Parts: sequence; structure tokens; C-alpha cells
Amino acid sequence: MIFAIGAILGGLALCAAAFPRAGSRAEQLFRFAAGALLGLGISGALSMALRLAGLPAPWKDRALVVAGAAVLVAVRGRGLRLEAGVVRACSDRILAAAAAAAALLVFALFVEHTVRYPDGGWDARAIWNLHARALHRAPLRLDLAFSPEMPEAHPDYPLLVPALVADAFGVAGEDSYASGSIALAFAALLVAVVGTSAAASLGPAAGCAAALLVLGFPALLQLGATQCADVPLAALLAAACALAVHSGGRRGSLLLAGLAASLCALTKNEGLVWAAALWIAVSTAMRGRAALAMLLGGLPGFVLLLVFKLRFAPPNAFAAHTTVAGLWARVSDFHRFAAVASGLVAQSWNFASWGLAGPAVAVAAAWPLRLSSGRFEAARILRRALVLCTASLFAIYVAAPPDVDALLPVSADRLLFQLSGAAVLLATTSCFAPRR
Amino acid sequence: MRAARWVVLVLCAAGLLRDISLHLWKEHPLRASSERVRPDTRYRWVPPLLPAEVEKVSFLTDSEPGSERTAGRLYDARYALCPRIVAANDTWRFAVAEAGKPSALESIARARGYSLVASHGAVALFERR
Repeated sequence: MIFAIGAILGGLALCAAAFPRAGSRAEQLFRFAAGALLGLGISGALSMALRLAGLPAPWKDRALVVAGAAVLVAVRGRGLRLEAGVVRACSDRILAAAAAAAALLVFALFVEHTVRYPDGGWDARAIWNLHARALHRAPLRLDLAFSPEMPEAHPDYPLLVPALVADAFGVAGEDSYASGSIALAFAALLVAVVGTSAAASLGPAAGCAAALLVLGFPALLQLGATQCADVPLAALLAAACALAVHSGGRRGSLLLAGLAASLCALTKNEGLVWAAALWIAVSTAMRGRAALAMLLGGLPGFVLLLVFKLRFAPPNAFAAHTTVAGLWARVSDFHRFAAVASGLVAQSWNFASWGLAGPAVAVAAAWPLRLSSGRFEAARILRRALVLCTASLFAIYVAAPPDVDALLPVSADRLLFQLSGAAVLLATTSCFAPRR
Repeated sequence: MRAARWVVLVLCAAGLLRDISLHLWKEHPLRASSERVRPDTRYRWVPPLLPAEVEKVSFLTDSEPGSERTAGRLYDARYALCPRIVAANDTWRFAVAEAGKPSALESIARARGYSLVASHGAVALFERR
């Protein structure tokens, strides 16, 4: 219990300190959702840091509870409270009821799947929960957890999710539903962050529509219930994007956006690429101080990642197998370009992963923007970030050593899902924001 | 706005129907619930038989190299024997093996120069002869 309270209180305290009072109920809810998500991420990052330093992790939760409560008291919960005289906005009752019913259905299917497969799917057992078990069972034998003799376990992947799961194993035991509960929390917070962010900037109807679109991706249940780290990464990236576009140039919000971006980089290797893309988008769309604030917010996380990569992790398998000649042969192969392009398009229109919501979001996100000036900057940041992410995705597949026809079908849906929350934010802005 | 509302509802409903069809029909959850065992159950008897100083264990199987089945068996063995390193080779003094049929375990051991220490079902622990 103290594990969950510590994680949530820590994140809520940051949001309370970073923001002024909320101007609407949706804004207030967004801060609660983003705060809870950041809290989970911070708890995982702290646990990762303590474990890499060979220090015991359990006192971390008590420290988070005490520090979070102290900050909340000191700022009197400022950013989590409503301004005086805020009236309740009218909501579209049909959309709100549909969003609640869809969330309930996905929740029920998620729980049922987790009860049947408490250890998650292949990826979870081969990578994430395997690392979590190693951290839990032999916390001082990191050499075993990061052994290059098990390359399929991706020992170079950062440890935010495994450290969080290892903490939960420490509290509830390995035979519990600890890893499934953390996967469920991240999936729920992805929906909540995207929905409340859209509601805060575009109104309650847009918020319900955004939540429905995320719930309408079959990949949410597939990747979430199988306990892949792609769902936490999608949630953290969506939170980073939302905090950046909600900032309005405010330093506190941009610091938190940088923090969320660094947590992306601590979740999976590609999270660093998405964080860089968002930082470039913010730097070019807003003034230099905004970029600096974001960088400062992410600094502790990026330093932790650097220490992990330089001191503990073996070389990345793709990088280790890449030679200059091989790389040149791949990037100069026109057929490979065509195969990657057609494969990515085919994967993004795959009904099994995306239903009908995925293609609709892709079209809406790519639609030319004709928005009022107030919303244009937000849409521009999101669009630039997503364009850079998509270009990076393309480059990764072109440069990656294995056969692209074999690699794309088993991995593209995950990478695209990591961008899905941000894409829904852009799509709802494109559809619901006032026109010029 | 009203049109946008119905479009969103249809888009979401398509995905939810896919979730339901996959979950309730294609995966047969109710039937599978009684058959399902946790992936490490088959290996739970192995760690007490391994000396405490053994950190690396080989993994052997009779399924086709590179197949999904081979990968699945290897991942389950790693998950169960964690934090020990379980490598898909025959380099180490001790090896765990999983075969399609229990009768195949002896021949796997002999072919790789191991002798059988103990077996439960289709999973065995070998030691180098």
C-alpha cells in the first residue's frame, strides 16, 4: 500500500507545486492523471537508481510519502485545486456514458486476461518480468540480470518498468498479480492522460472522444494485458506532449514535460528518440527558454540513463552487429526503403491492432491545420514531434540489421502504439479546436 | 458536432468488438482457465537440486532450432531459473531440458554428453558426464 501511496503522492506533489490553481475541472483532472503517472515513473526511476547503486530500495516509498506530503502541505495543494468560481462545463452525456462503458469493458477484459496469464505474454516473460525477477531475487547481482549471454532478454534495455515491478514483487510476492496491476495502472493512466488533456484544452466532448479513440485501439488491450513496456512508454510520451502543449511557456509545466520525456528514455531505448523529437519540436515552436526548461526537467533522468548505459548495460544488439559497410548497403538500398514504407503503412492500417480508430487518427493527425492561433501552437508542437518520431522510426527500420520483412510485422505495431497517445491528442486538436 | 460524436462511437465500437471477439471466442478464456499453468511451474523443482554456486545453466530441447516452440521453452526456463543465466548451448556443467515427450529426454542427454539427474514430466535436469 505504501508503495502505491508513495508513487502517487510524489507525482501529485510535483503537479501541485508546478502549476497555479486549475481554471477548469478538466484541467484539474489532467493534473491528477499526469501527477499519478509521473509519480509511478519517478518511483520506478528512483528504484532503478537505488538498485544500480546497490542500495536497498524499500525506504524509497516512505521517503516519497514524506516528501510528497511535505510539498503538498507547503504549497497547499495549489496546482491540484480549482480557482474560485469555476462553473462545471456541460458534457456530451452520450459520449461520456460511452467512454465510461468502453473503459469498463476494456478493464474487465484486462483483468480477466491477467487472471489467466499473471506473468504476461512472451515479451514480458522474456524481458520485463525476467529483469524484475532478477532484480527482486538477486538485487546485488546485476551482472546476472544484464548478462550478454541472454541477448533475447535485451540486457541493454533501461530498467524503469522492471524496477517498479521488482518493488511490487517485494511488497506482494512473485505469485501475486503485481506485474499485471502495474500494467493496468499504466494503461488506465494512458487513457486518463489523453482524455483529460484533450478535455482541458478542447472541452469535455473532445476529452471523451479522445478517451474513446484510445480505448478503441485493440492494441491497448493486447499490449497492456501482455505487460509490454510499450504501454507505459505511450502513456509517458503522451504526458510529456500534453504537459508541453499545456505549458503556455510556464516554466513549471515545461520542467515536468522534460521529466516525463526523460522517463520515456528510462522505459525503452526508443523512448530516448521520442524524447529528443519532442524536445526539438518544443525548441523550434517555442522560445529557447522553453527548451532549456524542458532539458533541465529531464536532466536527472538522462544522467541516470547515461550511467546505466556506460556502466552497466552491454552494447545494444543492433549497434553491435552494425558495420559501416553494412549500414551503407542498407541505407543505399532502394528496395529496403520501399519495403519499410509499405510495411509501416500496412501495419498502421492493420485492423487487428488498430480497429478503425487507428486509421482515422492517422488521417486526422495528418490533415492540414486551419486552427485559431491559440490552438495552432499546441498542434504545431504535436505535429512536429510526431513527424520527427515517424521519420526516426523509418530510419531505424532502414538501418536495422535484420531482414526488414521479418522484423516489421513483429515490432512495428509496438513502436506505433508508443506514439498513439500523442497522435490522438493531435487528431482531437485537429477535429475539435476552433477553426480560423 | 453531432456527426463527430457518432463517428467516434463507431470507430471505438469497431475496436471493442475486435477485443471481445479475440478474447471471448478466439482465445477461449473459460476453457483455457482450467488448463493453464504458470510458465515456471514445470521448472519449480529444479532450483533446489542445483548447487548454490551454479550461476550458468545450459538449455537443451528437441524442438526445431529457431522455432517459436524452442523460444517459448527457453524463455520459460529462464523465467523459472532466474537469476541464473540460462543459455541455449551445451557449454555448462548443468543443463535443463524440455522435450516434446518424456521418453526423448534420455536421448537428448546422451547426444550432448550429459547424464540425467532427475526429471518431472517432459522437463529434466542433466549433469555433464
